[in-house]
Amino acid sequence: MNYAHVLLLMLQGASSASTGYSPLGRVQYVASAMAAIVEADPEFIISVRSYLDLLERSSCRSARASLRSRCFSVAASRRCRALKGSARAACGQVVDVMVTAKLAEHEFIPQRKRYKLMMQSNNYREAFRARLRQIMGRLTTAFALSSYRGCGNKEWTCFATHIDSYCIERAGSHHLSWHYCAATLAMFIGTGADVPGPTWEEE
Amino acid sequence: MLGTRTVFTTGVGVVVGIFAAYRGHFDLSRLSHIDAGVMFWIGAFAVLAATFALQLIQPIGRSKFALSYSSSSRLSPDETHFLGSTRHHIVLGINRGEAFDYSPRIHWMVFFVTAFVMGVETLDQQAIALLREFPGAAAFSDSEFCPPDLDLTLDASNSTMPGCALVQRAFELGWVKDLGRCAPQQSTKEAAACDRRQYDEPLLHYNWRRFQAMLRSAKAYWGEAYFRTAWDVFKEKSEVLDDFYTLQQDVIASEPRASHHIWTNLPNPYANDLRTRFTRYVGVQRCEDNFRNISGQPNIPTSNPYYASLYFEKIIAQLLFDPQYVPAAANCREWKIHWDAGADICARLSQAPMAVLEQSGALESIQRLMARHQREKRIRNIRIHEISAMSALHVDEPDYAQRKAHLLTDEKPLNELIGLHCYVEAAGMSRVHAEAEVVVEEHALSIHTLQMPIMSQGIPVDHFHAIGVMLAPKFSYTHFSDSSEVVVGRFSPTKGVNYLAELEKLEATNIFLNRRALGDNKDLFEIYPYHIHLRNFVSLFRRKYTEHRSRL
Repeated sequence: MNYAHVLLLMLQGASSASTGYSPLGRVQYVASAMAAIVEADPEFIISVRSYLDLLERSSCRSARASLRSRCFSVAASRRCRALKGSARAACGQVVDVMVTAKLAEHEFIPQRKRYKLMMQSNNYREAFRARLRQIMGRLTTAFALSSYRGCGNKEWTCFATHIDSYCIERAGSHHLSWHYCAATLAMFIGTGADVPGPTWEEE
Repeated sequence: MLGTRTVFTTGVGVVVGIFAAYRGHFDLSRLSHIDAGVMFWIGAFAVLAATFALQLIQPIGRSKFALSYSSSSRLSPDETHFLGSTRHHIVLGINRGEAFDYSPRIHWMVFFVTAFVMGVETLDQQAIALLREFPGAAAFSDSEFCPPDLDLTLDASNSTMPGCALVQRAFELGWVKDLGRCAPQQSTKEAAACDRRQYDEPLLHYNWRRFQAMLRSAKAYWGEAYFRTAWDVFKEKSEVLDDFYTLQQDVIASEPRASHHIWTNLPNPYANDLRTRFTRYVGVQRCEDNFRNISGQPNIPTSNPYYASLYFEKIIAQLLFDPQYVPAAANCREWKIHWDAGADICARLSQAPMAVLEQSGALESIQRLMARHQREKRIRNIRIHEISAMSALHVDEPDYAQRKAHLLTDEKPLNELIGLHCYVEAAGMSRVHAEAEVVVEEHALSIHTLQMPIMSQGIPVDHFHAIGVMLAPKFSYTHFSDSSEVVVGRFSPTKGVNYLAELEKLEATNIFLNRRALGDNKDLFEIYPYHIHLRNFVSLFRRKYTEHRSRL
């Protein structure tokens, strides 16, 4: 996919922009979210991450994924309340990607595997973090080695276009939901693979 | 002149060499297949055995006797005739040091090779495992002893019985006439006699008891009745020897264990695909490979002229064969779709089934399956008879009862093994299911027919449901049968916030239960997590399908 394709998507998207999840809308959102993650203060990302971990074990603890998701989104977006204008929008995007990546953790390491990790390792937290980083890294490597490679440094629109197509394909072949795939790739690439892992030890 | 030890070692080496070459033990590629652990133990055994053998002959030093060739008729006093005629013979004499002898190292090498070949011939993974287990198996474990007697009778005075202390006291004081539920209860179950070793029983006594028991049970095998029954069973089996042989052949060749056919009016999508036709013709393409990684997304372009055929095949494959949703419900080699069968195929199939079966080439596979079914039935009956006869003679094989019960319940009706289906798709048609009965080779078989309108764009949910019912008539998929967290309503994202996280709602929006859940939004169809809901749908379908169909 190249820029001509993106242009085509933009033309297509103009007619269906109202749906919000048109190809153009998706590409635009992922691109701006990646740019926002790169621009964001690393301290802010770490603090949101810690907050999400805390929420997961406290007020957002629920067996129902839909409740957990809503709780994360509402609670985490409060972090951006103090900001105004474009900064607030960018903050909202960062939080949205982080919340979705957090929700994807249950897909990457389901309860059964967490239990296995707990039984097999002396330090569960460290083992969980390593395993999660490994899975996210594997997904990003698979993306980088796929036919959707070739974007230059900070070419976020190109990245977003490729991520969108790759994740649609991945959903069909590898049973990974599009939004989990897109959020994980955006997070991993946006933070330069320096994704903060779970931060339990900061309790 | 050769020392006798050297002659012996050479003889052993030659025999072992010929044997090893004949058995292929010098073939390095074959040796490389031996497990590393097994090879280690074989090597260790060979080194020890060779060293031990050499130690046995080492003190003797050089050979005491020697063999030499002679053509003279005169023998010296310390020589004797060993082999040959009077003119050409080999003589055996005392070795005074002039005979040739191998060095100890060469002897050791020959012994090592001999022991190594013996090891390769006799030791395998199973033998090593048995040797490892031997010390544990040789020792007595607690399970070989009779458990100590346990007094399981309930005692009314037992204070652990709730409320019984007061009842007991009242009984003693004469306030009540009986103890009721607190009365001492006799164990109703007689303890089974334990014939294992008693804790205080000497080992010799225990072994003597076992020997006597063995003699008693052996009597059942020695009697005339046993031989007569065994002979009858043998004769019965020999009469169906061909059946046994063919059954083995079927198993080894992985012959189909069921035969299912679907006739459809849809065009053959592979008719003009030369690559597919060639690979199928030469047999390099297996159906399992085609159906291994089926995408959950509706990724067949509607512009494809064979859209309906390809999607129909995809639905069948996802429901039955796709290994992503384990366990698979059927083997694709046992299914055949007969394309281009004409719009009137269902009527023709009901009216003249034999003609349709013959014309489409389905009859041969059905007849083969029926023959296999009959063969298995005959063999099963013989086995049941054998078990019954042997049980009547009190020949106690531990799993006789279990085997008999399994054989009695193992018979599968032909209707479960042979499936005849008819699928017709045309514009303006409404969904109609029907079932008819036809007679094929004197067996009554069911035909399940389905008429459907043409598939629409996106995911054809109605077709999934209808084809599911055609294949498994008891199948129905409702939100009561889905255990996942399902929202039957429509997907409505909150605009402007949490663009990605809002999509989490799609995970719980099941379009298999509410086909309007995504509305007409084509964009959402692209990113919809089909895999989650398809997994639930397919799992439930397969459960129902396996209740309805089976394999030999």
